[in-house]
Amino acid sequence: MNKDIHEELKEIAPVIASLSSKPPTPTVPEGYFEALEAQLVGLSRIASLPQNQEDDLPTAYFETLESNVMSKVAPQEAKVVKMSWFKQNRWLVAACSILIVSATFFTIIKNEKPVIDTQTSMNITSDEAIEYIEAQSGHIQMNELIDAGIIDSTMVEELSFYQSVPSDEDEMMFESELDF
Amino acid sequence: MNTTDITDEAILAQLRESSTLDAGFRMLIRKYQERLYWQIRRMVTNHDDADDVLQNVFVKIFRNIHQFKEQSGLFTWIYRIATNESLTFLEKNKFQKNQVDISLMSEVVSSNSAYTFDEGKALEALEKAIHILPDKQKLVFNMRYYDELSYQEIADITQTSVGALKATYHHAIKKIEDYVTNKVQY
Repeated sequence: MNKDIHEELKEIAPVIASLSSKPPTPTVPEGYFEALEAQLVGLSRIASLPQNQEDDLPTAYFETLESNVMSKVAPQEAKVVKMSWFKQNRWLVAACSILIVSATFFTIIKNEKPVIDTQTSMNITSDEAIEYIEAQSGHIQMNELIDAGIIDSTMVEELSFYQSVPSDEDEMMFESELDF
Repeated sequence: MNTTDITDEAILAQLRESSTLDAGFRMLIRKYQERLYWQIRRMVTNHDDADDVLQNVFVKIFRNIHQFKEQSGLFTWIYRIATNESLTFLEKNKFQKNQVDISLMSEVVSSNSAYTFDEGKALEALEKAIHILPDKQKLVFNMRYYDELSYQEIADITQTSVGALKATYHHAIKKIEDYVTNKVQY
């Protein structure tokens, strides 16, 4: 033992200093240090490979890692895609279109055969009807009037009869002819 | 070549060049593996634990050798790594160590053998007493008693003051002396 260390030991711990030797060295497995050298050489090769990935990390990588990850994971404000009015309301437009087309169709169908208020027509007096017919006779076919229920066949006969009755002028001409 | 013939300067010269890096590591391993093993083994006691810690120490040396600025000696730097690794290991395994300490203490208290100065018994008691010491006292005691380092060398390794180290060593050695005396006197 080093002399200084031994002298110091004698002063503080005389019993320990009086020991002729140090405690025995613990045992190690046989051939341990020979195998250890080979093992450590292998470790040195692995450790000195470019495993220094920590050195390649950007500055303050781990300090900023959490915030970087969170910024990518956290729900971002949704990107607002402006949709056209038509796309937003396409079902409404379709429904309205169908409604308009249907209404137009029914209107056209309805207008094809005008509704004639037969009740009102029936309240028309025969004279009025005849007057009307006289005025329109050039345009209206009798059959159509009968079909529409404006007049009936008896009225047509009456009208035929009336039309066949000579007017005053006719009568006068007739009389003059008679006079002839 | 004998390991004692290898100087730290020669090792560092090999480690500086990438072409001789492998040879440098081989020299470093040859020179320090046994010394570091025993330093660690005295701290952690168990061979398997010592082997694990030693390998961790060398991995740290290999990985950080390029950061060694030669402000201290290579030996001091390597011992510092081994010291820190040993203390870290003991800290992690504190519960296990406490269990051992309790069993050792109870064994000492129950001892009532008649007094004869039996050196073998004293050495055995000395070993147990060292084991019971707090980690930092044990570390300083081992460096002084077994490795025979100067206070300045220990201070460089542990990065503490010489005065604090002397006090620590004195506390440790007094505890051991009391323990051994008590053991061999009955």
